[in-house]
Amino acid sequence: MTRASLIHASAVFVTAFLGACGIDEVRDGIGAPCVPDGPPCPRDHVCLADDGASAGLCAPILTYGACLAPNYPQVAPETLAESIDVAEPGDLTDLDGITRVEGDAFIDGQVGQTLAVADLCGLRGLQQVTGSLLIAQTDITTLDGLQGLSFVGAGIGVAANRNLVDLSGLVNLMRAGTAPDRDFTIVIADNTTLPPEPIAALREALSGRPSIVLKVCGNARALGQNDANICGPEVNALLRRE
Amino acid sequence: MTMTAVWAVACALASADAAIDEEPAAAPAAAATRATLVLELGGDLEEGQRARLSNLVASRLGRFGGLVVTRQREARLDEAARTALAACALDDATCLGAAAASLGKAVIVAGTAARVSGQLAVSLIAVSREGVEIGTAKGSLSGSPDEAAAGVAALVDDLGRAITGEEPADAVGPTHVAPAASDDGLDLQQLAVTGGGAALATGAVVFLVAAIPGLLTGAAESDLTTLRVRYVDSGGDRAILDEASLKQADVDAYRGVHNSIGVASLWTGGLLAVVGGGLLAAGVTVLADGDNAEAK
Repeated sequence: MTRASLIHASAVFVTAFLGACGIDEVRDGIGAPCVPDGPPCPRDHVCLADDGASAGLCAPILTYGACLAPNYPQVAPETLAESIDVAEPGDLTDLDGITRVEGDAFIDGQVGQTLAVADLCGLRGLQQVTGSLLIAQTDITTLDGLQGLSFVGAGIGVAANRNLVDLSGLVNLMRAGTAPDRDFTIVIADNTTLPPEPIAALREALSGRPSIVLKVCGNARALGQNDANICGPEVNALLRRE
Repeated sequence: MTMTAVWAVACALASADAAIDEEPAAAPAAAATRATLVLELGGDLEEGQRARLSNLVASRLGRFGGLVVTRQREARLDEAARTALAACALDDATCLGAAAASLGKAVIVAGTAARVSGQLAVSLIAVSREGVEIGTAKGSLSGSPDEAAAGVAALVDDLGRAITGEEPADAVGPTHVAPAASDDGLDLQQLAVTGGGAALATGAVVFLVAAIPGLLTGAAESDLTTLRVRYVDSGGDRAILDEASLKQADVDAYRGVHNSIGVASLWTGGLLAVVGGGLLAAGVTVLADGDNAEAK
């Protein structure tokens, strides 16, 4: 093969490698259109929708609170097509990067037992849960790690977390659904060390989102502040996964 | 186009080059044949016309079974041989004979072709290696180019008869000058140069234009990364988010064009340029070889 032939062959290769490459859709997600309960944004983003609007824009998550920010700014979303039930602290680690759970997500201890989970950082990628999200009987102090959560299809329960003092991890929640027989979409109940201030701050942050109805009961008893609201049977039923 | 097709093109180009670079296979010398070298015609005709006539002379002589004809352009003469030939006047039989002997040829054919008073004046001479003039043919030809070419062919046949004492055969003699195709050979080379150049230029332009959507996509994606940093630094400025939204639309548009017609155009343009470049290189190489040989 002569030098000219080698040049020709090289040109063919260059053409092949340049021309054959289509550009995939994975890129930085900032500003991409989204629907809170539609296909999720790329990881490390949240779907921001104005005041309960049906559509919004993907925005980078500004802070994960006490959790370290993940290093995946341009990774495609990943869906888990089944419910999750965290029974061991290590189970949360396996969920890092999951953006959508098609089913329920239960992170709670067995009856009368506390699940030794100190934080929810393993849920940093989570944006959507099509079923219920239940966080109960754990050792968490904050909801940090849930800053990407923008949609929950069948309500959120945060209950009986004996060390919980902060709820700001839920400020990016845009839309929440509930069961037909309930009149609330989020219940914050029986967290014995949770003072009124973070509850008020969360209520304020979510106030412009009409689909979200907050129910609060039985908190702060360990602080000597009896929550005037006693949790009703429907809350107890929810917390029993009924 | 598939990779198989790509490699077929590459291999075809490689084969073409190899064929160009190879020395012509030595013609088998039969006992009754004489190795004959046909020099390029002199005269004041335009170079392309002279080349075509030289080709015609060689191809017509190739029809005589007693001659193994090699055209000067294909003979790949060394420097000394070129110098010896350049020193010979066309009517100097002794000099031409000595040149034929030094080149291992039995016969050398030279001639001129010139336009005189609207007619084509052609003069041919055949000299043996002993320096003896063994045939001549002269004529003034008029009419259309085709008619003039027919006249030249008749002159060459006369010269061939004078050299061999035989009539021309219909079939091609044992020479690498193919009569049917060689008349078009130069045209094919020129076509390769012209067509190859046009294909190369067109392909390059198409390739470059087709690359634009991909480049714009990359630039817009880079802008998104910048906007992301600005958004985080600003603590969540909604205006930056809106700006990024417009940029996302740009990326979608550019990416769509690239992935639809862009990729196909890159393939088309790139391959057109490669094939055109190959044709151009092959054509230029053959023509340059011939011109160099003539110049020396």
